[in-house]
Amino acid sequence: MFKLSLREIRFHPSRYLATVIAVGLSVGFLVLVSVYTATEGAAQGMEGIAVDATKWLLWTFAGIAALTGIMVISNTFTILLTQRQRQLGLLRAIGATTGQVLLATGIEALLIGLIGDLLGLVLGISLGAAFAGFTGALANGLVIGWSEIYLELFLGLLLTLIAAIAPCLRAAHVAPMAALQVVPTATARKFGVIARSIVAGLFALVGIVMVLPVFSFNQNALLFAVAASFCFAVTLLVAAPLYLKPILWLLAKLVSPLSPVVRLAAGNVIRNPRRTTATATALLLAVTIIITLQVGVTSGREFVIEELSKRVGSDPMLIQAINQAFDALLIGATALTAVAVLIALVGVANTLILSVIERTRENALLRALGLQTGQLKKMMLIEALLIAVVGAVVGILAGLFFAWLGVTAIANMLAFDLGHGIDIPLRTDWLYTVGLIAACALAAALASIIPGRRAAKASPVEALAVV
Amino acid sequence: MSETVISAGVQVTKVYGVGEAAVVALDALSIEFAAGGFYAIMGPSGSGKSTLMHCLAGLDSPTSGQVYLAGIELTALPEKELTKVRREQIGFIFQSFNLIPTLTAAQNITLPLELAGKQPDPAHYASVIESLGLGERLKHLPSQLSGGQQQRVAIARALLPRPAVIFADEPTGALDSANSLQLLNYLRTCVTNLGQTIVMVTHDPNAAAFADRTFHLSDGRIQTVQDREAPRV
Ligand SMILES: Nc1ncnc2c1ncn2[C@@H]1O[C@H](COP(=O)(O)OP(=O)(O)O)[C@@H](O)[C@H]1O
Ligand SMILES: [Mg+2]
Repeated sequence: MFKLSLREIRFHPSRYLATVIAVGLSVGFLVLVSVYTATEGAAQGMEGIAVDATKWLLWTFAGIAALTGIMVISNTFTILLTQRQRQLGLLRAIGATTGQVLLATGIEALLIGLIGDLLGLVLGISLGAAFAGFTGALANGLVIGWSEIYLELFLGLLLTLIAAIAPCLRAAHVAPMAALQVVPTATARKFGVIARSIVAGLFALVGIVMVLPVFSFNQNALLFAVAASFCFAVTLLVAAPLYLKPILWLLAKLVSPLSPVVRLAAGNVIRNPRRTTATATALLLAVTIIITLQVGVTSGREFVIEELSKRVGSDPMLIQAINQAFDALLIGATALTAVAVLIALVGVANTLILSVIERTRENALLRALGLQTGQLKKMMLIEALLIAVVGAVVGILAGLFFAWLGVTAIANMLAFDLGHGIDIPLRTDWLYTVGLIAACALAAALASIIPGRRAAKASPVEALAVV
Repeated sequence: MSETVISAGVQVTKVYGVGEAAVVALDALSIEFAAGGFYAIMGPSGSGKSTLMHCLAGLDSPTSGQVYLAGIELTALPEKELTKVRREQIGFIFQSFNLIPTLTAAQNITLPLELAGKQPDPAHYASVIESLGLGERLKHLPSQLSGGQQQRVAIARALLPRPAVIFADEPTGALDSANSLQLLNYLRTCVTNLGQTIVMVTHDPNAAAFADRTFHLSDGRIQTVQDREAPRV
């Protein structure tokens, strides 16, 4: 079984590349935080608590990145194993037990995790050193807390295995005969929809109960808002395939008449809704967090400036200082969440590459029928854009909602203290928001380059080859 | 049958691989097809039928020799121009996997024309759909069509741009005998009534019997050429 897994990875390294990168980025971020904070802390002779506070704050963002990573890795394994259903079914048919198939796929996940860890280690230490060099802390020597890093590497393995467990279990339980058909059975799908609806509904319900105190003057409004947000976030992610599917479908129908190339791309986006929605969900999560932070910071800035102007009059110097502080906060938060966006976009590239492998014959047929290589690349680009734009737009809406919840909670908490209602205006930095969509679209376009090149390599002769 | 040559290969050689592993799939083969004829290419497996068709249709480039289609030397064209020729001048019918699964029958049929930025001629479109009995099936996806229906959609797609030549590689290979007969009769009608040139690769002598002329290939060379004696009614 070990040999089988090893062969699979050796012969199709490109299929695993994106997963390795996703693990590497997730682990790399964790290691980076450890290396940087330890080096910086040692250089400045900082107290343990001060270092820890920075570290935990940064780790929160690393955790968000890792969460995105889990989603991307899980999606990758699902696609990979679905594409290998025949092979696994054959294994089962010639006598491999469910356990053996699980072992084979599990070993693959473990190997991917190990290679990803290695990448993360190299990335984390070198970037950590680079940042410390930038701030000058490196002059006092690089400090690497190995025990912490071992733990982070272990976490990297763990998150790969957690992400892979459901797809691997699903693959292992495929009946030898059922594995010979490509489309998953209807019952399995229905079960997924029902299970998702129930979990999403329950969390939404708990969230609604939790959110009620947020709307009255309440000492603990923020606490309730955080708890409710957590519940709503679970709903948002668990239910994502359910609501993203009709959105994608609608968008696909809307853009289809534009041109035959757009129609082909739209058709590809909705042909495999599970895969596409899972890909978009990772981006959705990252964008939601970015927008929540952005709206929170922008509204906070507005509120502080307004209040201060009321009390001490508008002092340009003071306003400039406040603006600078909030700008720094926003840039910092964006940079830290950008890693999650990056991982989500690796996921987009990965889904496209795996789809291209699956559609080799179809793309060859398109070429035979007169689709230019440039049009084939354009098709991949539009696929990437459709996925990214849906993920980003839904993420922005969700982010606005969470920020509104947070701002309302803070307003009501302050109101409780002050004894009278106060109004914190909800403000978005539109330039930033539009910029974010543009950045997502641009990154999606970049993510489509490699899959597009690969698709364009499809020789039209392949379409005629009899399987 | 007029005697204008619509498609031709001159001293076409195709070698796969290099050195010891080199396989000569086509060996300085020359062939001509007149406009308005129905041609069959037969031969044992591995004799080079598919390779010949790929080269003639501009899907693959020969190692040496020239290929002409409708007065254009395909072997002199860059890939981009070749692709244009394929969608405007050539119709394809493959053995299986002929249709794009995400497009409806109607969208599959008009795809090559749309890629060329053209609209189908409504009267021609209607008559093609009507004659193939596809009117009821236009909104269906390929997965909702039977094998015979899928092949008929492929024929409609091939016919619609009024191509110079339709190339068909084992078009009946995946069909039962009743559907095969129907398809071959239809192709025959297209040649006889519309003057459509068709080049069909097949290993089935019954299918080849529908053609005006049959080329027998072996080892990348034409062994015999056989003309149909009595015209079919
Ligand atoms: N892509 C390829 N690479 C290497 N050899 C090939 C390739 N395609 C065809 N051949 C070889 O060329 C010869 C002719 O093949 P082909 O044209 O497919 O024959 P047919 O269609 O008559 O069965 C065969 O020996 C085949 O093995
Ligand atoms: Mg062949």
